[in-house]
Amino acid sequence: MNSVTASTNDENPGGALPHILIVDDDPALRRLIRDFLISEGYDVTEAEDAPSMRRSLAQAPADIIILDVMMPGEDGLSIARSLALDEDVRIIMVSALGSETDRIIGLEVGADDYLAKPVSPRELLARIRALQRRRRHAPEMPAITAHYGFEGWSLDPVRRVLRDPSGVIISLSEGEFGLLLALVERPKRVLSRDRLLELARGQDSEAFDRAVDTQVSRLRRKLGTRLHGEIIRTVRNEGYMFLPPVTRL
Amino acid sequence: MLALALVVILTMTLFSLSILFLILPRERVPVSVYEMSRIVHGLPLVREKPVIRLHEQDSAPPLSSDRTERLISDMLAAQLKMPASDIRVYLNRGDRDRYDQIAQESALYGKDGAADPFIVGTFTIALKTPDERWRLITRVARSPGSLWNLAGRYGFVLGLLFVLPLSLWFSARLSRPIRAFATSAERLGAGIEEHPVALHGPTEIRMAARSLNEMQSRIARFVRERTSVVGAIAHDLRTPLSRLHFHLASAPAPIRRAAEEEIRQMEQLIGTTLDFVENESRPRTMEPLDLGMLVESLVDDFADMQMDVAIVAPQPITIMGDMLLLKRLFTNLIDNAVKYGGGARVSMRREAGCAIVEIVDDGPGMADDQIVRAFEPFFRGESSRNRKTGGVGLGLSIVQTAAHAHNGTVLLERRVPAGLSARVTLPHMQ
Repeated sequence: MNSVTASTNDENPGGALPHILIVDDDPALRRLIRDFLISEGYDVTEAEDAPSMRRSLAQAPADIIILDVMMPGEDGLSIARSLALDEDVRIIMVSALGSETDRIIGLEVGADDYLAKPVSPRELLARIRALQRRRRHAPEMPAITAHYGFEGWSLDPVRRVLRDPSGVIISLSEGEFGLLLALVERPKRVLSRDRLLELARGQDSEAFDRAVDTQVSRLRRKLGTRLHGEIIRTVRNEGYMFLPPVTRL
Repeated sequence: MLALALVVILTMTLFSLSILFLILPRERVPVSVYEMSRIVHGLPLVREKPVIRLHEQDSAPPLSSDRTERLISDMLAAQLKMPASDIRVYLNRGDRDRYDQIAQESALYGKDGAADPFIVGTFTIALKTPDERWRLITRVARSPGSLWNLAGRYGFVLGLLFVLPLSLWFSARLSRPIRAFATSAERLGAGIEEHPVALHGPTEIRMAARSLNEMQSRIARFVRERTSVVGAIAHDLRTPLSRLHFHLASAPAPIRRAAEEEIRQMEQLIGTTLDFVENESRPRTMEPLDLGMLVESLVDDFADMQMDVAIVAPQPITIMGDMLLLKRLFTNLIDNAVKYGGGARVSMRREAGCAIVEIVDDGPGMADDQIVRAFEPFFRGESSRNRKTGGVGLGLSIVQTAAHAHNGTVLLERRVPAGLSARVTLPHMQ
């Protein structure tokens, strides 16, 4: 996890700055993003298309690539697929196509996050920081495309779909899903309320404002209509723990 | 094609005829005078059992004036050893005309006492019984006759035997491709993938199938073009908006906030429009899902954002549906109720194989003429042409498209005294 590139920015006392590579065919936008990120203290390189991106990566590996989807020549999806084997690089995909399907496709080809244009500077920064945090907190972070299974149920973290053992889709609210995903990714471990809130807030959960306790009790009730036995245990003064064994599907 | 039809017709004909011959007696059986006496005594014959009709009456049947009938009657009387006046024989025309043959036989063999002429057709023997009544024994000769004879007598059955299998065959031949049409058109309506119809069947059907296939590929091409145009528009509008965002990053806070709000609204318009186009053209993935959970999860999302949205009586109802499309459907309806009515109350129930979800609000509702037009794309009620609530006028269009994609309906109704109710009916899984 120390794969940080040489920094050109010496203002940072930590020394090594995250290297961000911007891949976008619009020169004006590229320049604007670059200036903004440099002002936020990042080390930034630009690339206008796939070949120049590969040249740049050959010279200096990047920590995070901000990748535009719609580009002439090789598009962002294809680039992301080709980079999927590279463990160290994180991809934030930026696309003018902002629908749910596009987001799912983006995440499935290996992007770590997906942002719809128009991107605001604050949002971009928040996502970059979230990705950095995820690297620090969870170095063993599982590949995002895998499905989880427990008690015959399956959970698809990308499409955000939960299915009961007979294959029927059980919808959960954004908050509940984030919570369940956080629990399922860390089974048989006690997670504090703060930690759960932080984990579940993740992507796209602006809706997650209610207290964790309320969400957990709703989640228990919803799962309980089709699943018997204790699933989420309350550990007094500690937090919550997901009981069933979890498998990767 | 024609050859095949002929072969089938010929086969059917042979089949029908063979059935006719099976159900009819094969030949008419001659009965000799001696055998007639056995019939009178009720004794069996060596050949098949004769068809006999019995009848008794008080009055004497008329004496026959026909010489053949007289002759046979006399011979039978001799055979039965009864007085000739107690016996009458009636023959049909064919046998009556055979007088010469019978007379010759009785003249020639009669000398040896061996004359035993036979009767071919239907005949009736009348006998005087000891109690002075008359007993009439009729032997019915069945005969296949000629083919024409048969056709006349069994025309209806014959016709039925002909027509039934043929019409079954033809209707199957016609309805199969038409059913394939319907399936194909239905699939086309549900998504953009092409489902060409197989080119077989009668000429007209083949022509129609070809046209349908051409139409399908035209529509698919049109949808593909539209999707790429939409993508280009999205790109060309959203990239400058992104740039604007970054330009504003260094602007004074009040200006930045105001401008960001403008960007947000523009993005909302672009987003809804693209969403509408995407929902029209995106292939649907129909999966079993719990509608009750789906609606409840959306209600929870709204409630989590501190909006006055509540659900009563959520029920587990499994339907086949496209999750994204259904979420959009109910989100739009709840969103409308929140925007115009300040909040939404959602309820659901089962009714006659359908799941019914009702979303009601206490807002100003809609005028009847607005309700009629509410589902038209880009239609906006006058009351919604303001910044706070103003969308593009696609929300309800998407709702309707989504409901139709699930073979469902959506109905808007003014509530008394105030408010609007939106009722979505979707067929559920058995």
